[in-house]
Amino acid sequence: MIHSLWIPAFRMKMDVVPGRYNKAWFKATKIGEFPLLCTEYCGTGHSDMLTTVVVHPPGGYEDWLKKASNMLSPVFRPADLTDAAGLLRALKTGGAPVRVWLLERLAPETREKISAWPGGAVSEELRKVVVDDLNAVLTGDPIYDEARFAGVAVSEEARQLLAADPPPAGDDRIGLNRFLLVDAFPDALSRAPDLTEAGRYIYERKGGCRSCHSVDGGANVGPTFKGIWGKTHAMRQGPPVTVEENYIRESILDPNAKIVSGFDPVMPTYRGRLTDREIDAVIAFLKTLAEEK
Amino acid sequence: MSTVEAAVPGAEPRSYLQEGRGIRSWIFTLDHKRIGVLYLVSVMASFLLGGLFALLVRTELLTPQRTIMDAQTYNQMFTLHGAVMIFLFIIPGIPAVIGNFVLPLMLGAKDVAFPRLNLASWWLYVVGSLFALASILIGAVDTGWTFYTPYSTETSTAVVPMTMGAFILGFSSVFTGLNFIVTIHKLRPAGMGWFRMPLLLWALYATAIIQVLATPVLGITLILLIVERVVGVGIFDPALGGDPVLYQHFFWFYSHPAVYIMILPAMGVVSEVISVFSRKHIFGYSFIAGSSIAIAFLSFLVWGHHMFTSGQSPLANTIFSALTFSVAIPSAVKVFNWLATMFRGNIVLKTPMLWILGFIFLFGIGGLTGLFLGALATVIHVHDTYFVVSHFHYTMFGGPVMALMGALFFWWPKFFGRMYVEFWGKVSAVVVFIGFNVTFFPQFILGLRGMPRRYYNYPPEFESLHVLSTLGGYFLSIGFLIAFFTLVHAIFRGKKAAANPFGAATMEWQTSSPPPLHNFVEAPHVGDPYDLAGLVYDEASDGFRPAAKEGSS
Repeated sequence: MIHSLWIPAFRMKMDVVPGRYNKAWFKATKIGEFPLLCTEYCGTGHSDMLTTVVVHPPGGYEDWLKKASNMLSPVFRPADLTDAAGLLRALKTGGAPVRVWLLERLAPETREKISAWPGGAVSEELRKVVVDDLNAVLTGDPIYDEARFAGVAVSEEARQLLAADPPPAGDDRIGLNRFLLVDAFPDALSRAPDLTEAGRYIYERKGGCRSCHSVDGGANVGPTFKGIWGKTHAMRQGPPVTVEENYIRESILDPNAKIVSGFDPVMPTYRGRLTDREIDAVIAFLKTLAEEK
Repeated sequence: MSTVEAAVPGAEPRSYLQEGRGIRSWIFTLDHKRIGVLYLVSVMASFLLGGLFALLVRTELLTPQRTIMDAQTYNQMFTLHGAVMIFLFIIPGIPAVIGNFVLPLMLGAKDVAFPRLNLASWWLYVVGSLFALASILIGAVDTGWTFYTPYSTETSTAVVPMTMGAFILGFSSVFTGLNFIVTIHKLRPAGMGWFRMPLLLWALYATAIIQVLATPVLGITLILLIVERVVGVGIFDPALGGDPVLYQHFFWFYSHPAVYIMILPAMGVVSEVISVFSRKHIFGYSFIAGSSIAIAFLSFLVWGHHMFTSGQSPLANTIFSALTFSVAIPSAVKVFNWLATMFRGNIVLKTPMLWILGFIFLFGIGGLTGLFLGALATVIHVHDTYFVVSHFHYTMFGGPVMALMGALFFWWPKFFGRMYVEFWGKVSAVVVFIGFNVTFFPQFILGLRGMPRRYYNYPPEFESLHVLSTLGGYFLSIGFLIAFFTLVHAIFRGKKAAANPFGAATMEWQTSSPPPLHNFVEAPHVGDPYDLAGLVYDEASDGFRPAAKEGSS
């Protein structure tokens, strides 16, 4: 369905067309709440497709973000582990059911490493192993259980997702799990999202892009991602293509539509395997690899 | 011609209405006048249907929440209102009703070039309408009259019958256009060069060019849409690898020129009526004629202005914006020439003139608000809002509908040989004019304040303007009912009309009202179609006659 994003107070409007990226910008100069509406007819619920835009005073957005928005990046990155030592201590001490349960869910090697940890500074390697395991928990079964979370102050966002009917699935469930983990270990895990890091995570783990695409310029099955953003590639067929959002999206969903000259059409489609939000994250990650001019 | 009637001087020839009786003499007629009347009946029935849908839509909008119907029904109602009014009423309106009846008469010809094609085009209109009606019965479309993809490929409503109907109606339109082009080229009488044609013919000629060139694109587009829906070939649906914006380009490549199919004949009517009721030669004949052709040409170059917010490149947006502005030039040429025609004229405020003055006023507002929509800085805000809805109605209702009503009151005596009651004709024009402004002016304000179009529920702060608009809509309908009763009453109870009741110099007024089957008993005099000086009022017949001839004939 085509929708159109309209914020009358900002005098801006842009259609939201499936399968392509459109750009729009505005500069909000007044603090307050302003209506946001859909203006492209999209079916029976068209006139209910509205919300408000909140313009925060300086700093207000960061406060809100801390509370609300890990939905954007449903994964942990090493930097999200704000107090690694605190988390490991809590896991070693046990006690609360949720701590015991989480330790049980971690991989046996990780458990061994945690029990072997002498306390004090946490090595980069251990931090990374723990974060990877936490992400594995997120993508697993729903983690909520009343007995397990007894004594944990569940945040409003998590409460809303828990009350959802039907129960949250896909990204929403991962987001819920993440909310709950942050609620259970509020001092150790940060809520602040980072799309770029989410993209790196997908590149390295979830999508496994790195098995064919290097980021250091090394030769591989597919073109390297080093400096890929904004680069113009010659194609096996058709005109050369400059790498931008639409091309990346197409290459992920329909990899054989355009093949870079010198490579074979061997990439499988990621349609249904990566969500739109995850593709956004990959794009954000690729942008960080642009070559400095 | 050696009929008895023609031989007796002063006697009335048998009119086309008396040639043959019964339904078959009408639905299989080859007479352009009868086909015009067939169109008149079917187009007016569509108008009533479309008007009924409009009233249901306006009634639902009386309150911010549900008033009389659910969201799905509301979406079907505004879709049907749009589709019926556009495809069944306005597009065939003036060309097929007025054009069919008047065009051969204005040329002093016996008929159009291809009478059988003419009948075929009416039959296609009927078949297309039946498809559209069938779609209403089996699951009325809810896509909006534009059938935008991917919604139109995914909705469960009867998109295929409705688009099939529009596809068939397209052929009807092409046939009419083709017929008019050939007729104007080949059947002009000796002495009538291109620049001695009545301006309505220039307008119909320009319209016919658009009909013939643009309508096939709509046909192809709708067929592609049907193929995508039925066979699942990906053309427009992104889920199948298609591009939904491609549909918008195809659709508007026809549908923007189509608004000129609607407005150009209306402008032609204005050019005729304004001269007659100002008792003055038309001002700037060649500019009015040329501007019709210029509009037809430019109409093909502006379709992209419907996609300013679709993600179209800023360069394309800028070019389309500039081209859109250029349409204002020939349109303004016409309006200023009409005003110059009225200037120092002896203006007679009879019913047709009231409708036509309404046209100039409303179309003026419609045209000027079009500049807001052509300018990139403002259109981004008002695109897809009530501002557009209002602009569209000021141009397409304030334009072709006012002109069609004016044309009906102008040529009604020629159609049926009867005069209507002048008082009620004037009342209807005034009531419609007031009702129209009360209905649609608030919608400009609604749009500017942030009311999107096609909304079933709306924020409560818009309620008072919506109520005002709906009440205006009811008042407007009363005006049309008065007009219809006045016209129908004239057929049965009207005073006998003179051959030339308003004193016009075009050739259709040289034959009797209503005309005989073959239009003219004697070959008509070919002269300047706007030279009104040679006509004098004759009290006995309540009409005008040529001054030079000594009272006879």
